[in-house]
Amino acid sequence: MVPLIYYDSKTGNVERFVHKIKALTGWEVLRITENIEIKKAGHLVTYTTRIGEVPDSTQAFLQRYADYVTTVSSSGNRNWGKNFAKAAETIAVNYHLPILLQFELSGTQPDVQKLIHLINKEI
Amino acid sequence: MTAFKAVNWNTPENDYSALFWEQNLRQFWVDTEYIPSKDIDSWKGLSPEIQQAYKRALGGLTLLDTLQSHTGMPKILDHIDSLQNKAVLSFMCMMEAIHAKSYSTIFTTVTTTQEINELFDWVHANKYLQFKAATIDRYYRALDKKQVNDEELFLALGASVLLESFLFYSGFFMPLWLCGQGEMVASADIIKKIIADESIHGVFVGLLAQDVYKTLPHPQRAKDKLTALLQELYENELKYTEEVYTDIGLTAEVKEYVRYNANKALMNLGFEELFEVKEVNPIVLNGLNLETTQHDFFSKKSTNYEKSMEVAHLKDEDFIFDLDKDLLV
Ligand SMILES: Cc1cc2nc3c(=O)[nH]c(=O)nc-3n(C[C@H](O)[C@H](O)[C@H](O)COP(=O)(O)O)c2cc1C
Repeated sequence: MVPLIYYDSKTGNVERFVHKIKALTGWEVLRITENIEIKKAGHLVTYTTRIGEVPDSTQAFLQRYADYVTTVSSSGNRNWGKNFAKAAETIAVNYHLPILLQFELSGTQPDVQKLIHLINKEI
Repeated sequence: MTAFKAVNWNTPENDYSALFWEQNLRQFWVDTEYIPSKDIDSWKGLSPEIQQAYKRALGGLTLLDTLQSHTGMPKILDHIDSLQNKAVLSFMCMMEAIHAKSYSTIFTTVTTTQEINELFDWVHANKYLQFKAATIDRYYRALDKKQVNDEELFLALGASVLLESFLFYSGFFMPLWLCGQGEMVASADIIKKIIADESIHGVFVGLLAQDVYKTLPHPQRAKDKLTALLQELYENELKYTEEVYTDIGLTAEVKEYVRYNANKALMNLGFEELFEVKEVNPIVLNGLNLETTQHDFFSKKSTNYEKSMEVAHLKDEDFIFDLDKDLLV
């Protein structure tokens, strides 16, 4: 099965990150919107906002579709110290999901490679 | 005659102004809520070389925050159309003034007037710091007119992101590195508040830059100019780093941190990273991660504004003080 990524993005970083993955792998990436309808399992990539919080749009998505989410990753910025990419940790605890990657902003090339590798391992 | 417009927050002008306004409020702080005097013993235990590097790092940061609050933010604000975005920029401008002042709060606490005056003389005479300020200022001053073209605006916004997300970090390295080893931790609380603010500023101004970039007739030309500016500033950062950090043997670590943050500045502008970075100094990361409780008062206050406003019914009697008791304090 070809991996699928659901992603949330406010200021464009996660969007750029998952498109780098798509360009290298051809995997499908789907942006979370209010009315998104999904039927397949996929990996969640989101970001951290408001000092260590999960974005509302990601919360709403998880309330409907947590059963379809197999792993979680989050973007963030190490300048936030202990709150760095904390959204992934909160989601992992609340929904009992494994964390694949916590990365900064739109991710470096090594970050992109790392997530591809980790998702491949999950298959 | 064109009608003067009043800012209407009832209708969002875009999907991010309100988020950044709220985030700025959430992060709001003032220097006097912190207690750098807890660092006096730590300061006395530092070698003269480390003290010197610390003062110079913070002196350089003072210059950048001064430039940002007195020129950068006001000039940019003048050429941004959205009134809500202007409001966010004006809040950020005020915070830059608080940042610039807060370094003095630390200096005043740990060192003497004579040393502080010598430090500011050093800042004013240091050719690398002056080059940084003059180079960025040139892009701001290009906005010193009524009509500017989109490329000029993009480059000024880009220069601002380079200042916020890249040029600060040769200075931030020093207080974070000390904090990561348990030194100067109370002052580092102030520094970390500044870093959180600058991170938000970098994202916000970066978004404004990306919006303008999309409308440019020659985007590649503008991107090349910005990349050339980054390179020029990078060369200068390397020399500045050598001047400040050679005596204490940290030059290589600081240079790596500078490259790492240059990459992050580029990401804030929607571009790819330029430098290969192997490792960010773990002591610095530890400094960022260290949770302290020096500013509990502030963090409580900032989340409890509404509540505290509800309970604050002041009466005349509240202003009659018990003199004996006051004298004891
Ligand atoms: C308002 C705001 C608050 C943020 N708070 C945090 C935070 O608490 N922790 C963190 O690691 N990153 C934080 N960040 C950084 C973002 O998570 C990071 O920039 C991320 O790449 C944004 O993803 P996006 O561009 O796809 O929206 C914050 C950014 C903004 C704009």
